[in-house]
This record gives sequence, structure tokens and C-alpha cells, in this order.
Amino acid sequence: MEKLKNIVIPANKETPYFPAVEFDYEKGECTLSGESYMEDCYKFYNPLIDWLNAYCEQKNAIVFNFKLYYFNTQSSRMILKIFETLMKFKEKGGQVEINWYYYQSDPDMVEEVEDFQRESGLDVNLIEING
Amino acid sequence: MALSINDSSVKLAYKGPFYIDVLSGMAGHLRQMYKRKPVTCNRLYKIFFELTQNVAKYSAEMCQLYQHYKYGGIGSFTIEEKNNTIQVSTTNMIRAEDAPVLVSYCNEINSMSLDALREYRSRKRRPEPGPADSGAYIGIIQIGIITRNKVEYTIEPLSERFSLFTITAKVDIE
Repeated sequence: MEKLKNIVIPANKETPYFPAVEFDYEKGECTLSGESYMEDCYKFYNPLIDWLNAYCEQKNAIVFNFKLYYFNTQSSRMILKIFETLMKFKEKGGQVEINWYYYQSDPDMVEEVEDFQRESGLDVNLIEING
Repeated sequence: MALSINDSSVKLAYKGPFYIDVLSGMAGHLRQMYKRKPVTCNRLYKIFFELTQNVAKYSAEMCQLYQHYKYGGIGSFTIEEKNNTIQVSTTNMIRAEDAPVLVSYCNEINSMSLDALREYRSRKRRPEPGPADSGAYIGIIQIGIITRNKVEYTIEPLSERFSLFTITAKVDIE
């Protein structure tokens, strides 16, 4: 099976509504950071979810880092899809570690993440950062 | 659609197409205005986008001048400080037939507790959106969760076919 190419989408100040993306096949680590409120969430996220599905066919462990400090409700649907993909991976024996970084000044994010946990059945490490 | 600002409690206002880059710029300005109250600022930022992106996507009045943007809904928003709250209001044209649906959404959401709203959001965001896209509804649920306050709304008939829908969300200043 062909090794996946990494996905790297750097942050862009002109389009702050797209998060930065780093999906590293060799390291087995994926990170979404910044904000997510683009017009067409499906167009942005579907290729990422396709990559994740392909990754899960080839590897047996993944670390997923969320450093999203704002996401709109359409994006939250796609985040839930990511969680569901990771849950299927775990059910097939894959090792999954999910880390969610949130600002001290955004305590509401804890509830959001708790809801993702409840909806997906996955555990998330909540990591508070200053700011 | 007239926008009247005659009150110094209005901190920010806009009327026109709700292109994403316009909203992004305005939101950045909001962050600067309220950076000394970070918890309030974060909540305000979130509901600003929930309300305005609903207008961008669902307003019955559209401006597709720039093909670059997928959504060009026209409306207005105001950010006001009143009674130790920050109130975000949006106004946009809707089809008259959609008014009862929106009234029903708002009343239903206003009747729910926080826990009920969270549970409801979980149910509503799971299925793939189809012809009956519940995107606007989920946005209003999210506003109820973030603000912990009821939303206020008015419907003003313009003609047989169209009305003006105004929705206001309040964030407590902490």
C-alpha cells in the first residue's frame, strides 16, 4: 500500500477562517490549529477525513491534537466526523490519543469537548494554556 | 431596510453583504474592543459568528457581486452595551413563509435548560445536512448554550412575500 503524503496547510492571516493543518504520516501525529469558520466546511474537511481513513488502514496508532480556539457549528459537525473516524479506528484495535488545548479565558470550550467525548465515546486530554 | 444608530451604547454596526472577509475583519475589531474582558470577549466572538453567518447563508436578500464568495446574504448587525450585557443583533430579510418556523425555533430553544440544549445540539448536529438543512437552527441552539440567556426576536412584515427578522443574543459582561 502506498505511503500517504503529509498534509501541511500553514496558517494564513488573509484567511483566518481556515485552520492550519499538519497531518504527519511518519510521526503518526495530526494537528488542527487556529480557527475554523470557513464558508464550505465539507470542501475543506472531507479530504482531511479521507486522509485519516486511509491512515487508519495502514497504521496502528495516532495522536490527534486540536488547538482550535474557535469553530462554528458547521465545523463542529466535521470535528465530530473526525472523532467518529478515530473511534472506528480504536474499535479495530488502533491506539488513539486525543489532546485538546484550550485557553484559560475560554472555560466554555471544556463543555464543548466534553460533548464531543460523550458523542463519540472517546477520551480527550484537556490541556489548559495561558491566555 | 433602515438602520438607525442614535445611541452611544452602540459599539459597532454594519449594514451590507455579510461576506466572510467582512465578518472576519469585524470580529477582529471586536476582539480588540473587548480584549480586557477575555471570557466575555470569547463568548461575544462566538455568537457574533453564529448570528452573522446565519445571515450570510440564509438571508432572502443576496448580493453575489463577488463570485469569490459562496454566501452573500445581506443584513445588518449592531453590538450594543446595555444593562451590563453586550447585545448582538442581526436583521435580515426572510421569506414570509419562514417566519413561523423561526419563531418556533426561538421559542423552543428559549424553553430549554442548558443541559437540554447541549443534548439537543448533539442530536441535531449528527445527521448529514440534506434539503432540510438545520444549520440555522443549530446556530441558535449554540447561541443559547454560549450565552446562557434567552434570545429575543421580532418579525416585521414587509410585504406578502417578505418580512424582516431581527434576533438578539445577550452576553453577560464578566
